[in-house]
Amino acid sequence: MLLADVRKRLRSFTLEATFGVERGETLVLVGESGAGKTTVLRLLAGLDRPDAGRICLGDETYFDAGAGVDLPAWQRDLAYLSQDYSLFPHLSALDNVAFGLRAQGMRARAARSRALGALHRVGLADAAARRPGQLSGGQQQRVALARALVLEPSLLLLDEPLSALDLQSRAELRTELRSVLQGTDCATVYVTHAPLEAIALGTRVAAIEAGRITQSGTPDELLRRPRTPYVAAFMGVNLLQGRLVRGDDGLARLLTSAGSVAVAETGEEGELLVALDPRDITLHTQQPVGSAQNALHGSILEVTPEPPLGERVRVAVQTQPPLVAEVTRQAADALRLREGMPVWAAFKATGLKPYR
Amino acid sequence: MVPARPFLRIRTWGGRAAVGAAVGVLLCLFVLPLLALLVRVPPLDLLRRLGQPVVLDAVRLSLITTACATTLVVVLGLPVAYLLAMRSFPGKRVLEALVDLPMVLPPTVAGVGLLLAFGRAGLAGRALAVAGISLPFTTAAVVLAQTFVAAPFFITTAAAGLREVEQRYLDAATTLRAGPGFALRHVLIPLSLPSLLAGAAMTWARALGEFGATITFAGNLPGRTQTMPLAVYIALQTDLDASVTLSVLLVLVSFSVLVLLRWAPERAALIRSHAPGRRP
Repeated sequence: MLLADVRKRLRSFTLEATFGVERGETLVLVGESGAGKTTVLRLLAGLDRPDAGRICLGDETYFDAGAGVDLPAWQRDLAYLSQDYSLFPHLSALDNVAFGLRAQGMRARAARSRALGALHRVGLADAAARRPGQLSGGQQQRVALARALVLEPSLLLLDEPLSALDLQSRAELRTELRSVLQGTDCATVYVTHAPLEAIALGTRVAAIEAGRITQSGTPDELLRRPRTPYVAAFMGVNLLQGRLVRGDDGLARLLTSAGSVAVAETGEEGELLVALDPRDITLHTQQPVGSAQNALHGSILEVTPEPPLGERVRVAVQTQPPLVAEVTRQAADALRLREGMPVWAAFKATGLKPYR
Repeated sequence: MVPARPFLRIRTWGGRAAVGAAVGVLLCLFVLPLLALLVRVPPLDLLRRLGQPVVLDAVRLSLITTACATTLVVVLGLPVAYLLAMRSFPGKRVLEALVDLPMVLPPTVAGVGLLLAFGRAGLAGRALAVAGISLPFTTAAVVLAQTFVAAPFFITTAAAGLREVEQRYLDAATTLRAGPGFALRHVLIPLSLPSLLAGAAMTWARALGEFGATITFAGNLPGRTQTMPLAVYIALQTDLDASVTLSVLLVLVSFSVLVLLRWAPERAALIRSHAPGRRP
């Protein structure tokens, strides 16, 4: 398993990350651009040097500032797939895949036959003789993946492997990657800022904000109990933060800095968080009468299709507190939702379980 | 081919005339002497005169010495180019200036320097003499003089080529288990090969034309140190036709190298860009 505890001074903050990844597990690192995700991968790979800390893979220590250990990148049992693939432009697809084997001293014939097998597994045996410049983006991605996997590394580092692809090949390759990652027993660290990838591929997800891991857990945990506004926004859920108070009617209410909402009773007290799924919010043009304890009034700030040209529509409403609702396209059309329009946002209290 | 840029087009007739005149004058300055050389000897005579011993000896010696000098420059210059391109260290700018120095130094000064360093009474010459080695006025001295004068052309071009290799390819190599040596042989050198070859070609062409340092340090001994440029100069007094023959030969060879240098990378780029597919 991978154990990492690294610190590195970056331009505007200090990166400090401690985490472990078991064999066969995929840790997905999410965070905004410049939060330090790629740096974490480069530190693990040995391309950058931490200022302090330790990196261990299994029994081997790759880096230990205290003991003065810093194993060069090429001696580490890992494969690193950078965002732009960096296939060697002067080598054929086959020789690209065989490169790591040759570097380890394998004979050309044996390396080529292993490489051909790896290309075959990613469905590109036919393209073996082609140079990277003659391959499509998706094909380059597959070659890069084959080049990494053929080494059978104990640690696989993937830096936004799908971000350079068009939507279609992205969906295809996400499915392929999922089966590839489930088929290996290496520890994988996967950097992305696509929620879909985090949910589909992550055994665990860790959010990095300004160089620190602010939350880590299963995708489900992050979805249900986000702890920071970034994690909530990443997962696409509303996050309310406030103090639990008891209303006149005896019901529990969460008092946020902008308005309050009725929530379920969980026995927790004090400063609490509440996650609210946008799909649990209904929008109305008149004050709703029904079982939902919460009905907030406000005008629509923005209407965005989700996904682009998709079936659903995300609606940001300037209620107190402000919320994002997600409704079907038909509902949005029927209500003629548009920016500036006053609406009521209704949701049940029973679904809102406050947590620390 | 670099496309013509439309912005600074000259639109007035006066402007066009000025540019035309400048181009014309320079062309005359460049082309007239070459033309004069070419019309002096009819092509058939040229071929016949190549057989003259004076010409043949000089050509043979020039080929041998320039091949040695170019090899020496590549072998010794590549590590220097690597240092200049990939590492930063105190005194780097001084080293860069030092490497460039032979380009601007009068070659005769280089020759005097070499003589004072490696001559019989020179700084290092005395030690060499003890070992039984005497450099001045030998073919080895010719090679040394050519190396001194021509090395900057390779080193600066090679360093620029190495600098252009994107770091991401080196990172990819090192995470694919490639140690420094393997990465050097299979990534860094292949990716900078056009620059390395161009630098070597320029060094060779400069070594071929070397005169001042050679005649100062190595003297002018037919068959041993009399390279083509030296023979051109000496034959001017005795055998003008031989002199012109060698001159024409030098012009043709140098011009071919320079044209090839411009044409080859463009061809390579053309072949690469014709490959379909999207780059990440």
